[in-house]
Amino acid sequence: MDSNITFNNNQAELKVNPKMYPLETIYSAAYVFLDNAYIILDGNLETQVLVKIEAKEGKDIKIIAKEFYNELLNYADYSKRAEATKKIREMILQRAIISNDPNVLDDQEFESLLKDLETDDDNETVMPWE
Amino acid sequence: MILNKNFYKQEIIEEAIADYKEHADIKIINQDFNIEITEKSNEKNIKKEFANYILGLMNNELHDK
Repeated sequence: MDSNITFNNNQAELKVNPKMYPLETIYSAAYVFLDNAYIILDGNLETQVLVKIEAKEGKDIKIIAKEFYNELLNYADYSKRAEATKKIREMILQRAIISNDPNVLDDQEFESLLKDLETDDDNETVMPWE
Repeated sequence: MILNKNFYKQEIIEEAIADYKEHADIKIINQDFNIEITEKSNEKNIKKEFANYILGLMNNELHDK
């Protein structure tokens, strides 16, 4: 990892491969460190992104630089999981909206949903008093 | 200060300039995003804070899409 980081006093230049870490991930990781460091992005979108970091007063540039790579991994993983669960999250949200606002359904769809609910009540709901 | 066009959008820089107008006079000098900053007060590190601010706006814009 050290070959990807160049230190100079309280500054560091990190090399990031944009094929492994998309730009969105790099921005997110950088955002986390804005309170502790000054950051400028440079380099090339296709080949190599350079993250130029200068530690703010009282902050350790070596720790910040190394943690930046951890944060990249963190966001890369988050993005991958978010993409993988996107459909199911959309479905849950859609279902929540529909069940809370019957006006968004057309009559036929609503009738059908009601029928389903009634059927469910008839067949599956266990009444505590029974 | 020069900002790389690959990572910074002009409209975001302009938005940041407007937000910083009380703290500094900031101009985009040329199309390579060479930016001139003249501090209005003695606030420390205003150039670097400005660069951070733009980066924050870029991040927000990307994730609002």
